[in-house]
Amino acid sequence: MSRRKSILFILGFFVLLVLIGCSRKPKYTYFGPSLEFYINDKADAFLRYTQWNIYINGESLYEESLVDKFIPENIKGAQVVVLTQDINAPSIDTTRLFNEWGIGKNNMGILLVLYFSTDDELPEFVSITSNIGLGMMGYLSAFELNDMIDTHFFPELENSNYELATLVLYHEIIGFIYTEIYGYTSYTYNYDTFVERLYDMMEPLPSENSLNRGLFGLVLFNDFPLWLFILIVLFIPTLGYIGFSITGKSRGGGGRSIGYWFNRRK
Amino acid sequence: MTKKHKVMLVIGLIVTLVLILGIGVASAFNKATKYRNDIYNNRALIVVAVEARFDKLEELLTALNGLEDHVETQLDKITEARKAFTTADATEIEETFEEIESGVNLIRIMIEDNPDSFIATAAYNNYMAEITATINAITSSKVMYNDAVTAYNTFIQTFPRNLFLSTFGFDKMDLYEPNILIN
Repeated sequence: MSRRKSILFILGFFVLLVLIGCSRKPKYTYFGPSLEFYINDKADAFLRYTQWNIYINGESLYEESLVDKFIPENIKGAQVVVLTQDINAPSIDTTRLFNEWGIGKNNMGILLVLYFSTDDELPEFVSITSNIGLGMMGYLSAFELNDMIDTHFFPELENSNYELATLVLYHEIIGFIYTEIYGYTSYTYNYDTFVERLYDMMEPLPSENSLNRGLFGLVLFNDFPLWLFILIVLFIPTLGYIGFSITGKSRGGGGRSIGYWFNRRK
Repeated sequence: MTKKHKVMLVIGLIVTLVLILGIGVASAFNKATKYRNDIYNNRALIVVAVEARFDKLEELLTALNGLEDHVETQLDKITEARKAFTTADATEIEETFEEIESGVNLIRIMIEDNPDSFIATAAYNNYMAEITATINAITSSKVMYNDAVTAYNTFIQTFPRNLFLSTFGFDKMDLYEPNILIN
């Protein structure tokens, strides 16, 4: 075999490997988590402040629990994720979604899916589905979570709006996790700050920043020459892979749900 | 090409073929093992969901006020069903499931007919959420089990794996039936 043929053979082999890699089954049945992970506003229902608040506080709970030496190893890593869905969008199995996103380390996850009707100009809240992870269900029952929804979410929804209702419910849930599960002495949040800042926050979310969208995002948002993108994808597949994996990495803790969920309508 | 070269070429081809086959068989064996372990894991989840259902039912019943007679009868039934569940053989387990579900339905009817008999009327919705969630957990765990069995069966029955995996003990598994829990 001539040297040229050998080189061609090796190149062909690598191309084949890349093609096999590309042909792998997509990881998500419906869609992947957002870059913020803790908030995925598919229905486009939330203002930026609500999303930022959930993102920052959800991340803090997770990160703090991982480094807190007083929390037992087997319950560290609680994650509370909020997803909004348009009721006209194809229906989703929240348990499948929960498991594909891997919400919560040690199965200590909660997924809240808020359904909205977007037929009118402003989204209208329709129902909320709560899915509790396999580990979390030993600490927070559907009974207790439903009680939080009845006591905090629906009254707030009646008195103000779904954004504040969601924020209050979110903080009640993470407050429960901090105090009742992780043994913190107290957890407080400032409702007045929610009201004051709800319409003020203009800071784009990480997923709205094109640099964080990965290589495709760079091209889509015109900050990156197309020819350079093609060059990278064609000739340096490894670099392309690293680019995607760094910028689009999911932050689920690998948690699982066995379908311990319930739905409440408005 | 000399005779020596030809022999070397044939030997090389045979070695390559054996290597490729060996890697293929090992890979199929490892994947089938993973799929089978997924099934065992999902089977255990059904037991977890059923046990959780017993726990919640007992909690729920003891919290009911004003229906003591009914509650006591139901608690006895649930306790018996739980005992039967842990010791049941293949033929009894279906009965155990029916017992649990009829108990749950009775409690649900009792609650719906007598919402004032609760410690607090506000708790009514919470109990309903709990009942729904535990039912959903059992249903979902059965679905996940069947998904795992389907993935495994498809894997081992697909050509060329169907030619050799059964010799390693990877046989077709049945979809959900109550008696699988004790096998």
